[in-house]
Amino acid sequence: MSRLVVGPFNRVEGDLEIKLDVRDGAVTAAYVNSPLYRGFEQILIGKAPSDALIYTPRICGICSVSQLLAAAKALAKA
Amino acid sequence: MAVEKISQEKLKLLWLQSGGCGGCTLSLFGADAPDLFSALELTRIEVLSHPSMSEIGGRSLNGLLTRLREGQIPLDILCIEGALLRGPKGSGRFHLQAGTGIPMMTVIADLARAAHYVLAVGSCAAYGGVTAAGDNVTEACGLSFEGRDSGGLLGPSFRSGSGLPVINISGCPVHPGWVTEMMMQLSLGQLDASDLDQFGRPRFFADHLVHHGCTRNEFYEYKASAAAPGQLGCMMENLGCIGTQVHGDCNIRLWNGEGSCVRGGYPCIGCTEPTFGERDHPYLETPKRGGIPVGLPTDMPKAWFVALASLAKAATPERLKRNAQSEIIAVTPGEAQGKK
Repeated sequence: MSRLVVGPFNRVEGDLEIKLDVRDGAVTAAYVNSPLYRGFEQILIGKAPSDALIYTPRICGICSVSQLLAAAKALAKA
Repeated sequence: MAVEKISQEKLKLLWLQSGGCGGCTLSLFGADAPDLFSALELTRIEVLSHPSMSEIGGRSLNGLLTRLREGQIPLDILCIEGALLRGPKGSGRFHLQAGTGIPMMTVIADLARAAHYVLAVGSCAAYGGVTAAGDNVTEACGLSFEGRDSGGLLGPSFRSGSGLPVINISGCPVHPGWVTEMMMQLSLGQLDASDLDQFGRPRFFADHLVHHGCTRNEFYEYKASAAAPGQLGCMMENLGCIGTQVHGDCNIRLWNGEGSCVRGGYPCIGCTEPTFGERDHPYLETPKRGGIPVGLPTDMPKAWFVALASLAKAATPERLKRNAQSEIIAVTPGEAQGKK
């Protein structure tokens, strides 16, 4: 059995690494790992609720509008 | 300071990302007049690898990085997007380069030492930015700054091969024009240390304030203030806008051809500043002491500002007073009184 480690990957937001176990030319197991931790989940602790409108769109540059809308809806409901 | 000119060959650019959201790349893709690919052609810049533009990945990318690090291929321009993650406990293991297990901060620091120019693209790469906010559990910092303090990953005395410090194109995100304009300056070999401000920002945008060109200027003059989001008045007194203090040409250059945060009804939150990411008050509220906003324009004596503001408030035309707290123009300007 051999193990292939694949990465860095392009055109994905955030980092991705894939490990493949290969036996007789067939993949027997695949492991997906994200080797980047930004700690974003903890940034809003202790901040004013309205600050969510500044921080949440910066979770991701691709889906920033969705993140912001979700935060705005959550604030409107609260 | 004399900066060594680089040859007429194509400039080789490498772009890497670390602790960020990729939003600066997305913003750069929105470049117009010229668009990004025309800008690259005009400036004779060859992109060796960019995470969103290039096919190269995996082992071939790692092989390229090794050749660049060892000087087998000249690295003219190194662009870094995203903060550098030094945690946990200085190990850098919060961001390991996929496929190699090497801390990204090490990969980046080694390449920075081999590069002719180093560009921090966005406030995260420049100063730590939003990634360093809160308790900063990832020990995030910028390439050569940590907030307002010089240092960061590469240390305060870092100079790239050109003799220049890290060029901090701050912003959250960057304006695409700030990046393409810097590419032009670099390709002409015309950038020297006096073109950067004390925080390493290109002065072509950092010598301006966001306030310059603000379309709410008439409301500002009379301190006719919006009381709630969506209203037309000046957002400084109540809604947290700090555009009078923040460095940027957002209202002169404009975004996406025609807009800006304040033109969209959103207060300036100071995204180009080294302190962006942490503030001692809620972003969308103006802290006040004795009814007077804290954080007035920085180069004006407070007493004068207060006196001027009181006078302006007393003189505010009814039109501005009413429009300031309306979502649409409630009172239109009167007839111009010129020569009949």
